[in-house]
Amino acid sequence: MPNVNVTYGEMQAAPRQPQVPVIRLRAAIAGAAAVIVALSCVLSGTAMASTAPAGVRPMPVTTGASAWYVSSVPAIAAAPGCGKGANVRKVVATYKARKYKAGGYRTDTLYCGNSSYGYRHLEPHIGQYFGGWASFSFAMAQTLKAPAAIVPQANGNYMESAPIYQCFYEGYYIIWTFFVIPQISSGTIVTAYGREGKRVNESCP
Amino acid sequence: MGRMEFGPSVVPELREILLSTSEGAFYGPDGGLTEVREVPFLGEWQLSRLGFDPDLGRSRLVCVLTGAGKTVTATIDADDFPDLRGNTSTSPEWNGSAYHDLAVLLSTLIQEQVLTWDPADIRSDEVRICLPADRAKPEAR
Repeated sequence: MPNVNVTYGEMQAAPRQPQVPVIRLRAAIAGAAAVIVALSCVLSGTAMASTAPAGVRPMPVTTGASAWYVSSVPAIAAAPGCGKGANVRKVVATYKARKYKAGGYRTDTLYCGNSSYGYRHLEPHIGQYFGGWASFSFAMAQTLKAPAAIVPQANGNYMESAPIYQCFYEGYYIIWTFFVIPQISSGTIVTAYGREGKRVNESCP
Repeated sequence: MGRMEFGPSVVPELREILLSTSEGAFYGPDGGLTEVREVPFLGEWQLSRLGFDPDLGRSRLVCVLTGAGKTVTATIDADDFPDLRGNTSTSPEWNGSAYHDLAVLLSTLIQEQVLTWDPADIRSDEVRICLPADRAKPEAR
């Protein structure tokens, strides 16, 4: 798996990013042609990035993911801050989440939590994904906002999933499946993780 | 000191969760709802056996899952869940179900550690279901 230093992204119909020697990550609802949101992961230097809709000029990004997240996902903290001394109910981030079989969105919350739920529960999975916390949180946000599937489960949780495209300027991409598991009744996020899928030897769709 | 033991309710509760199905909603590229269908909790896996270990009794729970010709044995030791092993507690901050905490947590962990993996990608035939020590106990509550 490539070791990438993440900064940020573009949007669905935003103009093509300048040719930066980078790795890009795309989050899609489903299918190669269904790119909803994309995230650029630059190895170094400045990238052009935006969460704005088509036609809006991309915003240059030179700093960490948190700043970029602010406009679309206001409550994502720059760093989780769930070290020793942090309360279990400290809010790490809130996410806009599509409602199950209904229009509109709910708000899901990631708390520091403990071994059973929240950031402290999912923390080991961050290293299994790529790009660190910023990329992980972005994938959570995209999965909740535009899931490919929402399955309510008997254990009181939703299982929400979406494909995430990790794109390489070398001309191939890897399709991950990202899962987020929020509690149905409260929107408290129990856990989240990504699964690396197949590599496609074509340019990112 | 002897081994810790699970309470008796964990097996039927966990079995009920694992064998449940629910109505999943699937969305297309444009975000529109494309399909609603029954989705088993186990996904592409099947439950071959769930019960206490024949030798260790209620100190170890064994969950045997098969998928795509692969068999994975998930072992769960009561020692790894000292606070929840009785399966009598309910923590509304993370458990919104009618089941007790241990059954819910185990179902989530089995999903994390087995069910959401492609059977071909699971390298070991045996998976120990547990919470890593480094995240077991936040110091502040």
